[in-house]
Amino acid sequence: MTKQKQSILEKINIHPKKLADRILLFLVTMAVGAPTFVGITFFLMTHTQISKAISDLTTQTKITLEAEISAKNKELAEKISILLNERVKRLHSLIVAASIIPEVVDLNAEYSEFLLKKFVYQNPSFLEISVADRRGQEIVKVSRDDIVLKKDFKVISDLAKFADSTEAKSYKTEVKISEKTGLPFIVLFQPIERYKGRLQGWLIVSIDLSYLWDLISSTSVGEGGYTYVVAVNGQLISHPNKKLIYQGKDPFADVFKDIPINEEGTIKTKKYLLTYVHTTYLNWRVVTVLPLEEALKPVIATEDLLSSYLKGLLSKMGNFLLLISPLLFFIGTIIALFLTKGITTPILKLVKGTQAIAKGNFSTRVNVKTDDEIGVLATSFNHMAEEMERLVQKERELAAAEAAADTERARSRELKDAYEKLKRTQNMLLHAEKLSAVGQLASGVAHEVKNPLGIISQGLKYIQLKLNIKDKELQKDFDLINDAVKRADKIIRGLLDFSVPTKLELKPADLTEVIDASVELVAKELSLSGIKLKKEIPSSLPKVMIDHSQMQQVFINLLLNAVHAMPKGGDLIIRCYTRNIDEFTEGIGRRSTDFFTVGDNTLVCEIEDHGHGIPKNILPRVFEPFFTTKAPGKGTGLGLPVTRSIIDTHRGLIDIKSTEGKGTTMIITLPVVKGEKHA
Amino acid sequence: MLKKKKVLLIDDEESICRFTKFNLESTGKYDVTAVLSGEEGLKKAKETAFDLVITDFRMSGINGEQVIEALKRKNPDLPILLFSIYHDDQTTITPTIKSKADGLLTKPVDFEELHAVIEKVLEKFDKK
Repeated sequence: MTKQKQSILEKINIHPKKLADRILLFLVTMAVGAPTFVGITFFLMTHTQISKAISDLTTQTKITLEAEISAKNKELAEKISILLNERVKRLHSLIVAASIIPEVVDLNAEYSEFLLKKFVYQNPSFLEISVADRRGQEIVKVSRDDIVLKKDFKVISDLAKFADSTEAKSYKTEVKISEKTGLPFIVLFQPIERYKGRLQGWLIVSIDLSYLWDLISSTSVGEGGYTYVVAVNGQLISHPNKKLIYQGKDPFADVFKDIPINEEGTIKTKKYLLTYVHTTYLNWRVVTVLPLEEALKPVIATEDLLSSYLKGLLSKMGNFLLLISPLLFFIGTIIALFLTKGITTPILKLVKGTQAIAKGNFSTRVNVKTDDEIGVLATSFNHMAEEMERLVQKERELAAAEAAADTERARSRELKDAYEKLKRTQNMLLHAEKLSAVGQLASGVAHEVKNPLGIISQGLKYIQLKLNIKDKELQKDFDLINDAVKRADKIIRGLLDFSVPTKLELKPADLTEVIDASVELVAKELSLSGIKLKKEIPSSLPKVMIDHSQMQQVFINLLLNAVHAMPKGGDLIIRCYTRNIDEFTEGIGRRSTDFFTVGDNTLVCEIEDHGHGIPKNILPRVFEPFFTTKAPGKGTGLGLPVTRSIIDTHRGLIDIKSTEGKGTTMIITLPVVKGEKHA
Repeated sequence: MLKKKKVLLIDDEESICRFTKFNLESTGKYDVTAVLSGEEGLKKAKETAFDLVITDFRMSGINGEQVIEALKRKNPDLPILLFSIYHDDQTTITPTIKSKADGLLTKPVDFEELHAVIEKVLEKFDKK
């Protein structure tokens, strides 16, 4: 029981026993003193006391009921507010997701139009979506109801101020009323960024708010009550009386005039009980309105009945008392005893019932089936109890609504996860794009560098011959310069391999042959470092589509890396096995979902060395071009990037697992030729 | 003394022409005519009967491929080497282009390698 209810009970200073005592006292007094005098006293005393008790009881019940109702209405308003927030947020998430799709980022008009159309048709709440460039010039526009022509493209001048900003953020306009439809809407601006801080353009979305009506109209407040929603600028968003929306005015604007939008509470006007809450994300106010008359209907009805009953009862008793003679005194006393018992019992029942209700036991009913006013009173009481029980029932429904809101929240969490995944993918794509840009740039530069290298190379010989240099020291210097030219050439060669897509000659082949051929080429290095090679390869492997020479380069690269990692020798294991993709893994910069789907047959080849391993902090960077841990001039930093690029063109996956001090395992996963079975 | 072989070198890079001409001639085996464009090369080829042509691939105007086509049309037995910054496994030098020439030299190439390739190709054509 709440503290509030306890204090109410304390205030109700009527108690079944006290009432019975009072009536007994009256009977005793009557037996001893003059019936008339007692009768008058009884009239005055009982009338006043019972009237006061009833008045107290009804007042307190009113307060309790008001408190309960406003608490429930507040819950209802909060539920609505949460649902409103979640719905609009979900739409926003969709927009954010759209804004990071690469084609949208590229401001590809054709693809964006296709995408936006899909959005508009699938979400009736999107009135209009457009893509604008950095300066706010619309380049694509799709409308739910209209055909959009190029000449309808506008410049949203507000956006121009962000053109060179690195901190463009999504924002939404105040609620407005559409001139065409008379319905409320907001416009949401979502920046399209190539990466954080690099603004490409904007997604501009008009969201129809009338679709929120069904959400609100499905929740009624009592019989004469309702809920409405109003924006911070006083614009109505939802109201059962649609005319008011078009006029745009909050019917209780005067009441809320001095109340900040983010406040919550309850206000009682002359006629209504208003409960209001704030929707945080949208900055709106949700108000439930319940006519006081309806809220207190059961109490007022009971009060009326009680007092009319009391009047009748007292006048009946008064008449009776005046008529009896002293001779019939004892008989009268006995009759009166029975009579009062017959009267007080139902009253006591009613009082007990009322107290039970006050304690919150709303299923209480009073079992009085007489034909008189007590019977009517009992029926009325039971009616009141039913009303209250109905309110309790509503509370349960609210709990159910809360459960629904929970599901909604779970859904939005899922959406958030999906969004984060998308964001990660986008970062990977950005990374890949950056690498490809580096490659393209490098390829251009490389060709320009090769000519001067050719000149240096020929020029060296020229100087040597022209000056007739025979000096051995100088000859050594010439060799050094020549070596430098060759080294530079080697790096450029690697760059070109990395950036220029070489044409693959894919043929179904046995990977074992490639492995054997590669091992043969590095056999000398293996024996020089004292490395023992172990092959764990099944006798028959399914065929894979590969370019033999490219794949050989992969294996040579990886084997040489392993050799360099094991200067003191050790075991080097080449392991092959087939694997049916049953779950996706996320490797360094690539995910298996990008290449495979569940159920794909793949051939996995692992090259496991027991060398020095790769420190955790540099592991994520090993596939970046020019990233090398070797001494300057020793490594080009292109070995692994080229290897990955080759595996990529084979639609395969390369991943790396490494523990510093223990060794490294390179894992290549290649798709098996369709129709090939598991070995 | 053996008769010097007449070599036509076409490359739009002047220093390459100058150095290579000097280097080749200093062996005493070659007489090199160096020109800076495909057009000039074709003109020279009309005037003189060369034993070998070395041409750059990427040049403004008539490029290396066109030079090879024009010269081979007239004399299929004239050995021609393509001297380029491109490798043969890259998309720029397609197998078709490669097959038209009698050898591919990728810049930078040191003199010893250049010399070896020239000797080999001349030997091959002498046998014909």
